[in-house]
Amino acid sequence: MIDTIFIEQDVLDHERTKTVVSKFPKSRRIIISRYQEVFNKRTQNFRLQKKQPALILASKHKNFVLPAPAGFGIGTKKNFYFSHMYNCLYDCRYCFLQGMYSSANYVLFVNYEDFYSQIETTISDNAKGRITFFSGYDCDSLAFEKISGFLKNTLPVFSGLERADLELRTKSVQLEPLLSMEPQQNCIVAFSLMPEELAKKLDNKAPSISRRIAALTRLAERGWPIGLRFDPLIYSYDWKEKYERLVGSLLEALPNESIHSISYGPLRFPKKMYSEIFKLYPDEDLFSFSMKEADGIVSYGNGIEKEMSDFLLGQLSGVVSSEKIFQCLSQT
Amino acid sequence: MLINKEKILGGGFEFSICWVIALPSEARPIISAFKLTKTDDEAVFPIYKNEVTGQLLIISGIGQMNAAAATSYICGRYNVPAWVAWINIGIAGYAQEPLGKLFQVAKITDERQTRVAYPGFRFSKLMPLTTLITREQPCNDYKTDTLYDMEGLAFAELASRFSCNELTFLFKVVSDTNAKQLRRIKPSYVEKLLAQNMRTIFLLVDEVKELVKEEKRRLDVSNDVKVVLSKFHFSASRKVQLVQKYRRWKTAFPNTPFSRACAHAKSAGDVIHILDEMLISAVFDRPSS
Repeated sequence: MIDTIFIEQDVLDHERTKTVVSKFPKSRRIIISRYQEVFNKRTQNFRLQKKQPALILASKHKNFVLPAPAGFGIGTKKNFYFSHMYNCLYDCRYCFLQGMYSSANYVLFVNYEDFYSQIETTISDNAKGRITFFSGYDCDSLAFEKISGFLKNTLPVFSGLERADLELRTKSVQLEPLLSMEPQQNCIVAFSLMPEELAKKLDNKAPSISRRIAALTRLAERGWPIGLRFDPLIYSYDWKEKYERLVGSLLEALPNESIHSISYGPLRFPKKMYSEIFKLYPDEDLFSFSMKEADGIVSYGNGIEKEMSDFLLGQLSGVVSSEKIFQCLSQT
Repeated sequence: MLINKEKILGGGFEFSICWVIALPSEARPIISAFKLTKTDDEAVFPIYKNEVTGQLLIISGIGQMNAAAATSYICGRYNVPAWVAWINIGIAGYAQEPLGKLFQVAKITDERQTRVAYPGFRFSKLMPLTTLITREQPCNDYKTDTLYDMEGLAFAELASRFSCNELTFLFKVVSDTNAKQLRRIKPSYVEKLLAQNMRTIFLLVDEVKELVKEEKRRLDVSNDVKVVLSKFHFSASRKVQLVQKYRRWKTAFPNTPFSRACAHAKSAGDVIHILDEMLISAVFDRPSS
């Protein structure tokens, strides 16, 4: 429950602001000049704030669409991302957002049309070849939909576009508006997945893996292209058995033709980000294992990364076409 | 004037809350309710404390300068750790009655809105939230829906540096809504306004203490580490390593006594080496964890 909404003066009269605010009739509204004066303040305590984040309604002024980090993609050479929201309803212990932002408050940019305009410009500026846009980079694409209505507005923008794909990255089982819309073959609903036992410990506040599998099965039945994202791969006791069970349940539940793509990536953090996250959660079991640091990146190291990747590929081999499988090596 | 600094480490004083209050009449109900006693007679501000509950209180006097000075003074003098909550409570002007209503402040600015702070983990279930304008001079031209005081902004800016934004709290009781009432404010009236809100203030303090406990668990250095630091010489960087590796080790092996694990260590390097060796087997989600 959001008890406080900070609203930029400039978007006070925006229709979308009024709609969002109306969904929290008991919340306290506080007018601000720019979202950064709340969101970027030093001395904020992300961990305590995460217990009760406020909502910030703001207008984004620039950088609506940005190139995706190198190594991030599902088959196309040109990859971009956009963030209509910063921060996430969930509290996943490995999430880079907790090391990147000093605030756990949610920022929702209400000027969606400026994003759409920039998306159209990006498509026309890249006249050759396919382009993929990623929407769930700084937030979960679906989890806040009931409040933001972002997808309901955004999916029509991509309707009929022949050269542009949209990836919705999520852990949410909130499936509207997808279930009530005609599926779009260029919109991939990509679920972040890990073995149930690990998700129970790490994906705080997020739906269980079994609920996620049930959700993606429903979407597949409806005709939406499904993405499976094993990113990050988590090294743990008995990890092979755990991932084998996970892949088995997914392949059993999901018709092969509904799988648009599978991507996987190792757990990696820039050194500074790892240090920030460790400071926030020094007693987190995930960080007990001795990770290695090389070239400013903290990771399990090449040996473990390769072993895990090879194992996962082995599980998928012969079942899913290798053309649908992508390694994600982006360093958040 | 950092004289007679109290030795907090090993002194049994478990800090939890530092109160910074402008007026003696605002402080008296707090002093009485939380059984604080006058201490530290050489201090330049009146200071009260309760060692059992870990509370310190300083009476700053009116105005931002005094609030900033008192906040810094008590922090330096008592070496207040970073997990302690800072609370400023007192009276404030407001455009609307009822007088005596208690608010938590969620935003503070100066009159010209050139400085702004957003303090506090919000306790909206216990009391309403509002904004506050900190002025240099008393006034009575109150705008709707904003409180007015003379200390809040400076306190919030300073205290959040010593601790964090989420552990910096401002609670204000409406004392007046017009010039006539402002002139009539007497110490006994102020005491009464605070005293009538003590039930809510007790609940607040309980909630604040829970947050403090969580932060203390996160930030405090274990006694195990303190013992090792006193036994061997650690360079500054090795000390940082020790603290981090110990936290990871303790999470991985919660039932192993540190003294047993390091029984054969003869130097700081040995301790770090032993922790490294053990952490190699600290795989996430192993059955015992």
